[in-house]
Amino acid sequence: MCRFLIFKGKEPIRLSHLLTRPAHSIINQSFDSRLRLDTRRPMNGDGFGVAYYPEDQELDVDGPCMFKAITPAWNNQNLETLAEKTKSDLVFAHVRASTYGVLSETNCHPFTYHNICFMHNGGISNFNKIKRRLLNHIKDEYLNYVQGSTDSEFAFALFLDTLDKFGCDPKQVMGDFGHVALRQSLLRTIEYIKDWTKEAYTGDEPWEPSLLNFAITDGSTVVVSRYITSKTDEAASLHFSCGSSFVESSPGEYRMERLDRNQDVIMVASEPLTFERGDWTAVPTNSVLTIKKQTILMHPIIDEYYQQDPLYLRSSTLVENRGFMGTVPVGKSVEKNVPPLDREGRLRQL
Amino acid sequence: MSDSLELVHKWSHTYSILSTCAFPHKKLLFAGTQDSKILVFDTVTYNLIKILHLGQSIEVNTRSSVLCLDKSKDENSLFSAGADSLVRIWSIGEVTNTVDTDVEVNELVTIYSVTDIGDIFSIRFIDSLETLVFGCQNASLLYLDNVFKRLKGVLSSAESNANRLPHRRYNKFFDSNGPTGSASPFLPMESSIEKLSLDENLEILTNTILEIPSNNIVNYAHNGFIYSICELDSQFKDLLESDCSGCPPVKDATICEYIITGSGDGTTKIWVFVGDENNDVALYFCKMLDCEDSVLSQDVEFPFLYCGLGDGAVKIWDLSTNQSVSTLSTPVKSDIISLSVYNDCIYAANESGITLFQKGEVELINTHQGKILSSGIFERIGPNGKVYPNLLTGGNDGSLTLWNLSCLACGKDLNLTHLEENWSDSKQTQKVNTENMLNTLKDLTAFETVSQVTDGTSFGLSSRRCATYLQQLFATLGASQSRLLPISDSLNPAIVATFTGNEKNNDKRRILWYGHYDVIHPGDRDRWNTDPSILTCENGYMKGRGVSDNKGPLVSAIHSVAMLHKQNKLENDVVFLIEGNEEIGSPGFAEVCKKYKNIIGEQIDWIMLSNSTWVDTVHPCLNYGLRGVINARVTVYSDVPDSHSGVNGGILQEPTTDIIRIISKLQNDDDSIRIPNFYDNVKDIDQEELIRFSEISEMAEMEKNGSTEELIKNWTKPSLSLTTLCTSGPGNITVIPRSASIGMSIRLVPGQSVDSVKENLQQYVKDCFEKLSSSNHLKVKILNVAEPWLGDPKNDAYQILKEEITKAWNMQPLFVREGGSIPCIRTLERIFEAPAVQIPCGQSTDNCHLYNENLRIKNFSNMAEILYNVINRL
Repeated sequence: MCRFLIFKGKEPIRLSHLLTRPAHSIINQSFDSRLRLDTRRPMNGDGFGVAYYPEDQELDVDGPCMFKAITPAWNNQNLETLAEKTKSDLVFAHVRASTYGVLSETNCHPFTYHNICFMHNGGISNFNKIKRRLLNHIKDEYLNYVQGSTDSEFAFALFLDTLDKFGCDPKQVMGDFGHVALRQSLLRTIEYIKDWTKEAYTGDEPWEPSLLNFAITDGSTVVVSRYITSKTDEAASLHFSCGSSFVESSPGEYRMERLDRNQDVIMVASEPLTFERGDWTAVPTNSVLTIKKQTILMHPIIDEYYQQDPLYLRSSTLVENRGFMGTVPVGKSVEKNVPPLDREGRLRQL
Repeated sequence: MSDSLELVHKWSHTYSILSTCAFPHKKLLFAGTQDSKILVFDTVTYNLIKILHLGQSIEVNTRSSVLCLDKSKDENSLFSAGADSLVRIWSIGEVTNTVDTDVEVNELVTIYSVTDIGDIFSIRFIDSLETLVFGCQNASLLYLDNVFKRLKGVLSSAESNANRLPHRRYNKFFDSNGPTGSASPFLPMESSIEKLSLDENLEILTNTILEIPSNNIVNYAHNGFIYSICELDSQFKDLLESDCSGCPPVKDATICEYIITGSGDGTTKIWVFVGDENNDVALYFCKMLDCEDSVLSQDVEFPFLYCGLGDGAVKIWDLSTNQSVSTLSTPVKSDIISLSVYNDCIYAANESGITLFQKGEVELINTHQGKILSSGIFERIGPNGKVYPNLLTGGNDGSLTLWNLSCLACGKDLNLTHLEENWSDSKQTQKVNTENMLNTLKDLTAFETVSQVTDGTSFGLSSRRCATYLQQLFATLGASQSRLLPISDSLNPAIVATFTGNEKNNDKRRILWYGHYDVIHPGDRDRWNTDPSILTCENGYMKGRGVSDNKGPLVSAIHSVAMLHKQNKLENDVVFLIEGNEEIGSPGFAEVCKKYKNIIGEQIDWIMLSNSTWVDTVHPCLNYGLRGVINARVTVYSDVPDSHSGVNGGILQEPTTDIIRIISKLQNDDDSIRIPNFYDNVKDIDQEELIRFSEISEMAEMEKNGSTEELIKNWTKPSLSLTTLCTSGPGNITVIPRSASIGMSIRLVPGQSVDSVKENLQQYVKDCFEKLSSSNHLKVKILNVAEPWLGDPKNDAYQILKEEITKAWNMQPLFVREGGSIPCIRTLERIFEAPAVQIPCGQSTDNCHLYNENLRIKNFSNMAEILYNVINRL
C-alpha cells in the first residue's frame, strides 16, 4: 500500500503542513492503525521520499531537491526538522510498501531526471514478462539512467523515452514542456504498458490488472493518472482538493479553506489529508488530471477499459485486497448534511 | 466612489457572499453564503427578512458554501447549489406585508448524483423545459428535466421512502471497512429526520430527494471545472439553428433551448436542449469557442457573448458568426470572477473592484468590499413603475451591496417592436411610409459603424450590432431568408436576405440590391452642427453620419421592397446583399459572394445599387459609368542612414533626388501620362455622349467642373495624381533622408485593363530607376485597385428607371458618369453575370465623408417610391 501526495500552490507551503503535522498526513497514514486496510502489508514502512522544487530561483533549475530514506518515515528525525524548515510551492511525496525490488534508497520514489520528477502508486502486473521488450524499446541514455530494480523506475524510463520521441528534450534544465506534451507522453506510456502486458499474457494464470497511478511534473505542470487495465475493477484510489488556503483549524486537524473559485492550493493524494469529506473529490477511474498553472484539467483515458456509463459500479475488491484503496477519514463530528453517495468503493451494501 | 455606481444599500454578514439572485417582481434579494445559508432581503424596507439554513443541521458548518443560485422566471422557485454537491429547490411564496415583510420559503427537493461530482459551480433553470442544468468540479454537466412533473409524480412512487433519504446513505457511506475488511456496525438512523409533510398548494412532498439519471450526466463536458452556464434568449434562436443543424433532432424539435458553458479548460461550449411533445428532453453539443484562458464568468447580450478570463481579460464573441470580436483588459491582471453586461456596458468584477467598460472607456471602481465574488444586474421596478437597472455585488468580507447604475450608456437594443406595431398599420394602397423609414434610419444611424478604425473596439461592436439589427430587421419585414455571412479576419459580416416574389409569376426576375452599412469616421465632432450618431431632422433634411452614404438609400430600398412584399404585390425576387467594409475597399467581399452564391442566387438578372449623389441639387440622375483606380506607392531607399547635408552632401546618391527623377518621367508637361501603352484602348467619346454631356453642362447647376470639357476629362479620361510625398528623418532642412516615397492614384476608364496598366507602371518605374544606375533601392507597392465600369444606359432597367424618375420628380433624369470608383460593382457583375444599375439618391451637397452629412427627406422618400414602382416592372 503505497501512498503519494502532490502539492502545488500559488504561494509556497511549509512541508510540515503536508508531511508531518496533519493527523492524516501520508507519513502518519503509514502507521495509523485505523487506516491500515492492507491485510497483507500492515504498514508503509519500506522507505519514503520527498521531492520539492526550491523557492529560490537560483536553485530552481535542473531538478528538485530530494530526500529519501529507507527507514520508516515516522521515525526519521531529519525529515522532522527538514519539513519544519523548508518551504516550496511544488512538492511530491511518497511512502512505499515494496511490491517489486528490494528495500534500497534507489528504489524509493520519487524518481527524478533533470527537472522531471515521477512517482507511481500501483504495480505493473507480469512486469517480468515485458521487461525485455521495454528495455529494447528505449534509448540507451534512459536505460542507463535506471539505477534501481523496480517496475516503477522502468516505467519512468519509458516515459522519458516517450517524451523524447514526442520532440521534447528531457534533459532541459528548466523543464516546462507544456501540459499537452506531458499529458500525451504519459498517456502513450500507459498505452505501451497496457498493450505489452496484454500481448504477453498467455492465459495460463488468472488475469491480474496493472494499476497505473502515475504522477509526473516538469517543475511547472503536473500530470497525474488514475488507471487500471480492467473494465470492471476499480483503480487505486486518487483524490484531489483545491481552495484558497490549507489551514490548521486545531492541532493536527486541517481543512481546505475555499473562499472563492481560485485554486491557489491544489493537492492530489492517494488518500485525503483532512477530515472534511466535502474538501475532496475523487479523480474518476481511467482518467488523467492535469495541473496547468493553478488550474485543474481532467481528461478521460478512452480505450478498451473505459466505462461509458457514468454510474457503472466498478468492483473495489481487487484494490482493497492489494491495499491500494484509501478511505476518506472520519472527523470527530459527523456532519449530517449529506455529501452525496460516492461509489469509490467506500460504500457497503445494506 | 464613482459617478457610474450609486450606492443604494449595503448589508453585512460574517461570512463571504458567494452568490446572488434577485427577484425584482417580488422585491426580494437572495444571497448564498460561505456558511451554508441563503439570506433573504426585501428591497422595500431593505431588511434581512429570513435566513434559510441548508439541511436541518443547527451547528454552523463552513462546508456547504452556496456557490450558485438561479430562479424560475415566474419567481416561484429558487435553485441553490454548492460545495455539498447537492442542488436544492425552494418554493418562494407570496410576500406578505402585514406587520413585517415576510415570505414563505420551503425546501421542496434535494437533487443529488451518485457520481462524485465535487462542487457545483454553476446552475441554470430552463423554464420552458422545466429543466435544471448544473456544472461541476469534475468537469461534468448534469441536468434534470421536467423537474416539477417529476416532483408531482414522486407522490405515488416509492421514492419517498425515508430509507432513501441522503441521511441514511450518508451514514453508510462514511462507515468505511475496518482493517479486517469487515463492516463496522451500522450506525443508528438519526431521529431528527423530519416527518414528511404536505404542502397543500403545490401537492408536492417537502424534503423529497431526486437522483440524476445516468443518461442525464455528460461526463467530461469540459476538461476543467465548469464555472458558468448562460442561457440564450429564445428571441435569437433562429440565428443559431442553422449553425447547429449538425444535431439532427433540432430540426423537428418542439422546443429548443441553447445554453453556453464556460470552463477552466479555457473553452466555451454551446449546447442545445431539445424537447419533444412527450416531454422528452435531450442535450446535444453544438460548438466550441476557444478562449485560451480559464473562463470564470460569462454573460450574453445578443449577439455578443462576454467571457471573463483568468488573466483579467474580457473576451467578446459574436455568436451569430462565431468570431472573436475583441478582447478588453482590466487594469489589474487577476481573475474576472463575475461579469454582468447591461446595454453594452460591461461590469467585470475582480479582486481590485469593478472595472466598467463603457463606450471604449475603462473605469476601475473600488467598491470597498474586499474581493467581489458575485455580481448580477437586474431591473428594479420603482414605485412609479419606472425601471431602474441595479447591480448587486457580494464580497468576501461578507458585504452585499446594491447599486444604481445611474450613468448608463444609451446602448442600442435590438428592439424592433415599434416597427412591428407601425408596420401592421400600413395601408394596402400606401407606397411608402416615411415615418417607418425614418425610424429604421434612426436606429441604423445610432450604430457607429466606422470600418476604417480597427483599434477602437466600440466601433467593431457597433458594426456587429448593426449587422445583427439588419438581419433581424429583414426577418421582421418578412424576408424568407435572412442571415449573416462572416468575413475572414474578423471583419464586419455581410448580410444576405431574400424577399420572395409572387409564386405564380412564371417569368420571375431575381434582383440583387447591393448596399453597405459601414461609414467613414465622423471626425472632429465639434465641426458638426448636430450629433453625427443621432439622426436629426431639420428643414426637410436628415443629418447624421451615413444618412447619404449609404444607410439612407439602403433604408429606401429595404422599405420599398418590404412594402410590396407585405401587400403581396411583389412579383420578382429581391436579394439584399449588404456589406460592412465598403469604405476600406470591400476586403473579402468577392470571396463571400462566390462562397454563398447558392444562397444569393445562381441566376441574377439585375444588380442595383445607390451609392452616389446627383451632380447638382436639382436634377435627378442615373449613373452609368465609373472610373477604375490603381493606388500605388513608390519608395526609394538607401543603405546609408539619414545623414547631414553638410557632412555628406554631394557625395551620396540621394533617394529623394532619385524618386523625383523617376516621378518626373511619369507625365509630360501637358499632363499626358508616359506609362507605355497607357492610352492604347482609351476611346474618344462618341457623338451621342458628347451631346449628352453638353446638355448636362448646360442644365446642371454644378458648383465646379461644370464645362463639357471638364466633364469629358473627369468622367471619360484617365488621370494620374500624386497624392502623398514623404521622407524619413526628422524633417530638418539639413538632413538627407534615408528613404523617400510618393503615393499616386491613377484613375482608369473603360477599355483600360487594370492588370496591364499595373504591370506597365511597375516595369516603367523600374526601367526609369535602372537608367539612373543608382546605388539605392526601389520598391513599388500596389495598394488597391478597382476596375472601371460602364453600364448600358439604353437597357431596360435604365429606361424603366428613367420613366419612373420622371414621374416621381416631374423631370427627366440626367444620364451621368462619374470620376470616382466603387470597387465591388465590377466584382458583382462578373460573379453574378448580370448588368449593374446605379441610381444616385441624394444631392451634390450631401457632404458624404465630410462634416454635416445630410440627405433631403424628399430624395429619401422619392427613392423608395421609385423603387416600389420599378421593382415589379423589371
